[in-house]
Amino acid sequence: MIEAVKNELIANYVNIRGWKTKRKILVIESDDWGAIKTPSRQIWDILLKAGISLESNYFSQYDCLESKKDLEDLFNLLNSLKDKNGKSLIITANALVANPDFAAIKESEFTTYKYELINDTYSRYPDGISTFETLKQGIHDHLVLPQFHGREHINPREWMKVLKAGDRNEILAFEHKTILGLDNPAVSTRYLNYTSAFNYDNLEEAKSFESIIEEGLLHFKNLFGFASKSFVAPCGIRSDDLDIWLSKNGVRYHQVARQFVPDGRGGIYAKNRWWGASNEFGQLYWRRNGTFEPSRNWNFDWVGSVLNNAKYAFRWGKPLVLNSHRVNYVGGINPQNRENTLRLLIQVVKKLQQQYPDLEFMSSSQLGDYMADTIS
Amino acid sequence: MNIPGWRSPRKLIVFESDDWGTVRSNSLTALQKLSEKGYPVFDGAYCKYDALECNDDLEQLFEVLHSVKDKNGNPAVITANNIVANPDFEKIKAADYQQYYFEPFIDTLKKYPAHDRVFDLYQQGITTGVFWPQYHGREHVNISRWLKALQNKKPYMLNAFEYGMFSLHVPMTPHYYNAYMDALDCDSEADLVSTIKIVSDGLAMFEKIWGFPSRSFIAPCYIWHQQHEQALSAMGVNYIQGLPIQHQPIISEGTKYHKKYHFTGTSNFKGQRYLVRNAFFEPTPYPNVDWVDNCLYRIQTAFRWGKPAIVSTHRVNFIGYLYPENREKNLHQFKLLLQAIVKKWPDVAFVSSDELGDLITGRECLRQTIRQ
Repeated sequence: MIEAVKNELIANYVNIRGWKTKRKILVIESDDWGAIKTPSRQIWDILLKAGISLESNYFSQYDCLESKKDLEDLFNLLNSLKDKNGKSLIITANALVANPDFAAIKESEFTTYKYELINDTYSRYPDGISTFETLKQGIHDHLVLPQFHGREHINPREWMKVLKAGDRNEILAFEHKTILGLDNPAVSTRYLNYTSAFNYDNLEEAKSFESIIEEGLLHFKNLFGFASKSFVAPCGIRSDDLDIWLSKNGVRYHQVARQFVPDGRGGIYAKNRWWGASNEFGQLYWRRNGTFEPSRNWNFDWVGSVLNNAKYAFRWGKPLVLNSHRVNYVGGINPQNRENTLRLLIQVVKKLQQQYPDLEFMSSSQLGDYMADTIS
Repeated sequence: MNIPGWRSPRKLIVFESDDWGTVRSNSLTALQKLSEKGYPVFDGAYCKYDALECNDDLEQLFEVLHSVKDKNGNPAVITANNIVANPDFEKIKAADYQQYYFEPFIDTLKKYPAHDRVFDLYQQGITTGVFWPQYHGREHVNISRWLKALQNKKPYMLNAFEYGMFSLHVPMTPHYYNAYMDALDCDSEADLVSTIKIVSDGLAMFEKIWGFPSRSFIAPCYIWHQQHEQALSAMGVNYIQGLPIQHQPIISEGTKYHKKYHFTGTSNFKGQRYLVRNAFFEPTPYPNVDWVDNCLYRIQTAFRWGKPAIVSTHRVNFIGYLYPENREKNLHQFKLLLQAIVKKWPDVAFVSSDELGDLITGRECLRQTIRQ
């Protein structure tokens, strides 16, 4: 009972303050696109047999690089759902632009970190470059909009440290071009270990993020042909020091106003901002006020839960911004994972449209532009 | 907006250009430094291109204005709405931002490197009939809000201040659309009282600088209060330039306004006449418009209803101090527009804002008297 009241209060609390709109807007923000995790079911089986606890969370259980089929099935679904303006549903795919170059790192005997761009990663996978071509077609058709999620979904220094330390599981994963990202106090004491790309425990490391952001945004522009207007950090962990580098390179919006700030010792603390808050550089913030993560639990009532999210969001004049990671949309480790999500996504959107016939679909970039135009 | 209001069979065209005299972006170096500090200064047209007018800006604009003649043999004239003063940044800093100081814009001109002949050129423009200053305000900054921001050590305001600037690109202040430029906006009764004094002092400065009074006024950011009109009326301002909508500050609510609607020729409680802009030539802020076409169409519409065409064209369009190509590109377009106007309407007459007001009210025209 107390828990229910608490949840009710929280749900209202995060939606009440700040910028408001009368429009009913749905934004789906999906992190991690372009990043590798486990390359294939075969490798997943090998690592599991070797005793690595891949079933301990839904990311290590299902997440992998998106395939051509993942994209095609998703785009077909998005294209079949139209809002009141006749616009298709669109997913904001927060993308990494690079992955570790395993061969080059091995050649350097783990002394030097090197990365490859995602078009090269796609080329190494079974569908080849056609996956990237499919993604670009989806952008062209306004079904997906990549935004910047970082250069790679790891902190290169911390990851290299772990590899050099020679942890058995990490070395085995490396041999299979896998990013484990499992919490293991023996290898990394940091919160969310080396996957939190912008966490740090010394100032020199904090400064190294400048070139990572700059290179990352430049690669983003070259890969996709446009600049990213918004940003969300891997694991939502970043300090405000990143803002200047993001602003200098054209980023005007922060997707996640609930920010986890590095404490400088590898830990984090939470910092909350409201809808429409702005910082020194005029970058605007908004919040994710809904969750659609079917991969986390196949038995949970995601449809009911999102409708509940929508109730609170729209009650307080806020768009519904769903947190929905890439892991939900991929079938490379288990095809049922993707199918389950797509089945639920149709139900969720149709139910939302039934309840809110004037629902409008937007990307994060469009939401930011709309907020910037209407804020005062 | 062309249907109600004063009519005349004469084809009258006014070019109203705001902001002359005010500082804006200081230099390319300043913009570069601010950009390196992370501020998106190159993203906004005003922030990137607008600056205190330099010698070349006036010379080249005058040449274009002289390139056409109206039915009376007069060249095209720009009503240059003049900000008569700028903040004295050095003194304000020395006072640790606790006190505001200002200087006449003719003193600011001396601090800029390509501006030594600007005031002489103005005089020349007045004599030859291509330029005619009118009053736009004492300074183009909201002093009370700006000082407060500086006292609160807002970094982006302090950074801009270091380069002699008081406003950066609008998106840096998303919750404050006019970004400290709205000089007459008021957050309190005290602000209203002080802005009334400021706007009156500035009008007196105008006469001292130019040697003649300004009979018209245009408020910064189209935001002003009825009480400002009253003070200006007492000092001889007979005409209020503007858009169809006046934003009158709702005192104590800060950046909230009563909207008041005006038509050309209608008058207020003091008998001041409104002159309402009904055409635009603004290529720098809005580059994706065919401005020659758009402006000609709007002039034609005005003439169809027997209305004067009042064309809004801000200083930023003619400034090449930071980027010469901005000035050159737009002057080329502006020349095409002027040529098209005299060709299409050979009986056109180019007049200044106050001259139009004088025609409406039957007063003697000050500009013509001074030119003689």
